[in-house]
Amino acid sequence: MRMLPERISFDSVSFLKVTRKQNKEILEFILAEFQVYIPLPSANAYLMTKVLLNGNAEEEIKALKEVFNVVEVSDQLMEKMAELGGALIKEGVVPNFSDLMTAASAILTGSLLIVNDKRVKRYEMFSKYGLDIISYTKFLEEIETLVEEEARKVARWSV
Amino acid sequence: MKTIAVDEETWEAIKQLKAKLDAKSYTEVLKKLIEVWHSVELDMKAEKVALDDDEAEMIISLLENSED
Repeated sequence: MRMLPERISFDSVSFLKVTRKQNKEILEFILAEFQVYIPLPSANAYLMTKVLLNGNAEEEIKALKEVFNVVEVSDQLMEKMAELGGALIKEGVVPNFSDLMTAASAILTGSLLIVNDKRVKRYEMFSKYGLDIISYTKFLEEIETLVEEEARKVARWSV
Repeated sequence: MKTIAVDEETWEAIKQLKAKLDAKSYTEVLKKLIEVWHSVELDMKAEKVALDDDEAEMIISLLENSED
């Protein structure tokens, strides 16, 4: 049974990990199975890496938007960030700006946020405000299970 | 069932493809073509956004160290 929702988003490090050449086949599967939302901090980390590799920023932004849904700045996003940030400050926690924007983008798009393993704890503070998270490693394990299920289905059809 | 019109050249090509695929119907041929098209499109998309492994590792390491 599929445990993952249709909508997913990635934090910056997990997005860089999943877009590495070595993960091309996994990414193809993800693109076929999920609606992928990219918060701006993740898009920025990706674009910085592309520009570092002599990519043209304008062209890379175009390509990124052709493949993924980039969560752009909007009134709703700013509203969600203000609500989340305000609620956390009331609790005595000042959130990091990138984390706040990433969490607000995932909540706004109703997507499961895939988070680098080392940062799971940092994102847990957003859980009570509606953020669903999964570690990158756990996500890859779930993807592996889905790939096996799909392979079994194809094998059954081709008999 | 629906009917679609194709020109003579496409008709000859699709007949040849049906024979090659050993398909039972033109629906099967079209389904296969659509499946392949999706697969090629996904491959092109993934290729378009692929990052070089070494450079990506370097930025990942910088991000992880700067935020911990």
